[in-house]
Amino acid sequence: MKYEIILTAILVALPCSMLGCFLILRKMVMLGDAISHAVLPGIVIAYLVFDSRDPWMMLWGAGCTGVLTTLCIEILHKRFNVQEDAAIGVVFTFLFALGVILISVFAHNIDLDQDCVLYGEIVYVPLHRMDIGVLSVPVALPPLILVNAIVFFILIVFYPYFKLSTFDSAFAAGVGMSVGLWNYVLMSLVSFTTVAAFESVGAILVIAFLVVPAASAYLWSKQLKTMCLLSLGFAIASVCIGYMIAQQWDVSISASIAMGSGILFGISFVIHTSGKVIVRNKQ
Amino acid sequence: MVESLWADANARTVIVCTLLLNSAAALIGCFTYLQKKSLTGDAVSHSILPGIAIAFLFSGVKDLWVILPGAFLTGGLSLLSIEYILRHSKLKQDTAIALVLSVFFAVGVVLLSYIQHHGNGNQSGLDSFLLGKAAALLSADIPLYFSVAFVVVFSVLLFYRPFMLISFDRSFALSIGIAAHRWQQVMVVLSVLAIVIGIQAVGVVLMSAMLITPAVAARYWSHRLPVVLLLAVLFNMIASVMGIIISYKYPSMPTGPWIVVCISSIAVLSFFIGNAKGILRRSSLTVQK
Repeated sequence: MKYEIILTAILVALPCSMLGCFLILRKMVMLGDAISHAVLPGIVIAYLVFDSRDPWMMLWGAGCTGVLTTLCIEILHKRFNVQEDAAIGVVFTFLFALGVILISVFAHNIDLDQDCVLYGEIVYVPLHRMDIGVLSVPVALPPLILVNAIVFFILIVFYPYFKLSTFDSAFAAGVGMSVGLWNYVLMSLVSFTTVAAFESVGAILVIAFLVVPAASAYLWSKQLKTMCLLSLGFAIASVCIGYMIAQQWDVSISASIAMGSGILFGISFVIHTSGKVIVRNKQ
Repeated sequence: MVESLWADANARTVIVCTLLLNSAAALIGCFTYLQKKSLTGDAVSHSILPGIAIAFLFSGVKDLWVILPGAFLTGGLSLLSIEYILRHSKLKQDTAIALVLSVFFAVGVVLLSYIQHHGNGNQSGLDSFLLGKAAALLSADIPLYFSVAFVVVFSVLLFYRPFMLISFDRSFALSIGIAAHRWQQVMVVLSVLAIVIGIQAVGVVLMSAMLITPAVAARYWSHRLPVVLLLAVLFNMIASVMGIIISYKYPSMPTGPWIVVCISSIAVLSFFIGNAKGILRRSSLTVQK
């Protein structure tokens, strides 16, 4: 049971931290935050229409909502001349509010409540089980494994494209790459991941999984490859630290994992800044 | 319907309080919008959560006089951390905001769950700060909310000139001898105050809508700051009243999210028919040329 919770947390943290690296380098972290809030109405509608937690339909619904959010923000920004940060703020608060309203309207029809939205229910993950052949696994695991496979497959196979469009989009466009396409691919990956993570960590804490390990890795690295690998390492370490904190003080597991990644960032930041001070003093 | 709402003393308290809180938020929101710092408000509102939890943990009471200072402290601390991270590392602004926001929020959720599991049974209602619960506003709290909202609104009116100057043209403000940095700090303190009192109505997650959306909507109707400020306050008031009426009529409906949906609808309407920048208006202007 214990290991299943840790495994679920790691399966959430790995693709998040990987995608976080690209979001940070593209200065699109707040767009990721917006998507993670905005998939809520998509999830609720998928629950209602398909009457169950059918993971495939939910993932499709989520992918659509994610792209739709990105599109809305882009239209507000480009066509209606709203500043980008304000456009993000307007769109995600609206969609999140819509999701909360849908939950309270259909509270009797769906098995979702506000606590689940806010913190997720990773403790209950081992309780909902299904059988695959002879194995009995938690229902939440197969979609997470699928999302991990999709995210890592796409990021590794198309790594050069993501790298080029991240660091020098003008050059990428110049050699004939469709920068917009890769942007939307990345955003759909982010929304797949947030939906798969929704049940375990909720819609709001996901942003901690996306940004914090990747930010810690960013402090330590000068190459994209090192940054991605370090970020995966930080993600796993913060799951372990967070789980220990949660066991020790009997608190929310997903939040303490996010707090654990915050602690790791704090340590990295202190070492990083004091290192700079030492170098400066030597000079 | 509206008369019966007004006759209900409890509903009257809720309306008066919500109008006050949201007007203060709209005023401050216009200035942060003009400075292109809309999303820092999001960081502050999420970071208020640990402050509430810590204040409750130490005092054991759910008294606003204890909880609001705690909220103010962590809200301010989040802004300081963002600034510190930006100054001392290569992280960019959006990363720093998201990082501080999510870690503070996580600490808040950890503390809340600690209180829930070890609490003394007095803690119910603390999580109403997450998504807001306007109905939980008490008439005993009105004086506090009123005084804070009054301080915010009055200071914005009093310091209108320096605020306007540093929002539009910081270097010009500096050149005519305005201490831009000092005024910036005053504005930050006011915005944290406005957010701290606002969370009771709409909650930490949706608070940024009360700051950003009315400013965006009002900007479509006028190019003049005083008009924009007035309109933003007006839009927020309309949305608040609509949200309260809806949740009064259908008690299972959450107030905060409905207020946000109303203000967003006003914004969408303004995008199209706004007098100054609205898209229909703009296209008719091009036709005239």
